[in-house]
Amino acid sequence: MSTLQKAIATLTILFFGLTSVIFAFSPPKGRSYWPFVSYPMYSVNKKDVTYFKEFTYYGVFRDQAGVYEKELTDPKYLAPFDRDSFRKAIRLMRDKHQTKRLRLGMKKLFQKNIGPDLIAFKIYLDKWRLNLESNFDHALPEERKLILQESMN
Amino acid sequence: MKKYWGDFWFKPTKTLDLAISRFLFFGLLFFIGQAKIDAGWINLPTEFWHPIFIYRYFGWGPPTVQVFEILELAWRCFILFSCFGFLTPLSVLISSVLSLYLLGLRYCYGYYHPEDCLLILASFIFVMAPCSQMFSLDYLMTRRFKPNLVPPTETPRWPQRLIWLIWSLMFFAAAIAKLKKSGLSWVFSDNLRNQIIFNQYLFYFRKTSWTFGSALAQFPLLCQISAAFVILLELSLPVVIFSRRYRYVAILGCLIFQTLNWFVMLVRFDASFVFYIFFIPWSQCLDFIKNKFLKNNTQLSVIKNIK
Repeated sequence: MSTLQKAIATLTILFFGLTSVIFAFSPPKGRSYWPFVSYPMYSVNKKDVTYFKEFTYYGVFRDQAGVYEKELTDPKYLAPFDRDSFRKAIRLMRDKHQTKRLRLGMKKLFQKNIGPDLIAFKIYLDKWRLNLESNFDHALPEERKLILQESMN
Repeated sequence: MKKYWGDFWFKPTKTLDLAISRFLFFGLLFFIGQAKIDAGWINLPTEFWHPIFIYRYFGWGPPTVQVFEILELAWRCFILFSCFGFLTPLSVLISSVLSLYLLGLRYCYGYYHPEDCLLILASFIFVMAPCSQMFSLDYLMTRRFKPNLVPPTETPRWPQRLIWLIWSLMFFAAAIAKLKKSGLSWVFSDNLRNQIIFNQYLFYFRKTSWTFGSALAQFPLLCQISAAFVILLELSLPVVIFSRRYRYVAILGCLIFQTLNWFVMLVRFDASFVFYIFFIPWSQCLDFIKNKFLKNNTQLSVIKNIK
């Protein structure tokens, strides 16, 4: 291995190694420097049940030929409807024109992913309440509110 | 210090190991990336577009459907070129830049899953790595013009070690984040138990007839022991770069941990499973298979001769 090759390899090691360490351990506040990120997953302590015993969640459903209200669970449909981003987007859309664009965009998105037999899609705001004393054995939220409905016709 | 640095990063390892890792990594990235890159979101109104730093810095906006389709096609081609080792350095560079842009698009629509970042970093490490000297179309084409070409059997081990480093850092940093935010009560409290139950609601659609999560949540002490195992494992993972013995134990532990994560927490870390290929000594495995196969062949020929 020549000296030049060693120098290039050392620079690569230092760049990727050090940058990964810096961003992993002291990430700049509230910012993501893709592809260098911090890894805070599941670090918040949930020992205090009141912190999260009630939570809301956007459920995206589809009506398809012969299938009524099937929930979409694949991240490829759902990521833009993640609680925070969806709330932010809804907040930004104040007038009818903007809402119309949302409907049109979603129509395209779902038609592309689901296909021509899609009849309608709906977005519900679901409210869940945790039951810590017993096994989780049901799949229905406590409250369900229809936020958006769009027919393909 | 200089000698230690040199030995640690530049000691030779088998060229074939890196070449097979390149083939498998880009092959798997092709399939994993296909599922992750999705043109559908770019149809959404711009109110859904919340660009992350790199997009803001370079002024990248959401692509039009036509541009996206061209980029996606180019990404597929160059990932396959990288996998089969065709024009390798250039293909790896272009596919890495395209992966950076296309895989990052999801993050501008609110998605967050840090494991994808490792794929991008590993991909860029391959740009600088001598990974096409064997097991590649480049090698086959060069041999056509130079029939006496003998590929180097050994190559410096820094690309493999650097990938081990960033992979183990992900877990180590995750453990530090847990301890920094929650302290030891992350382990010695009902935290993990509550988190398991919470996930049964959040990801209820991923539940199968197996109810590992709900079953484990019935035993608070077992949940605390599991939490301690997770923290200890994550904290100790960087040791795999230095200790060969610990490497195999830790990798097995990590594999169990990630599989249980899937069944208990209902959380999948698909991309980080790809990184196990960098821990497998491929040349040794091939030697083992070859020896066994050749041995059987020899035995067969001996039997035939006797007959």
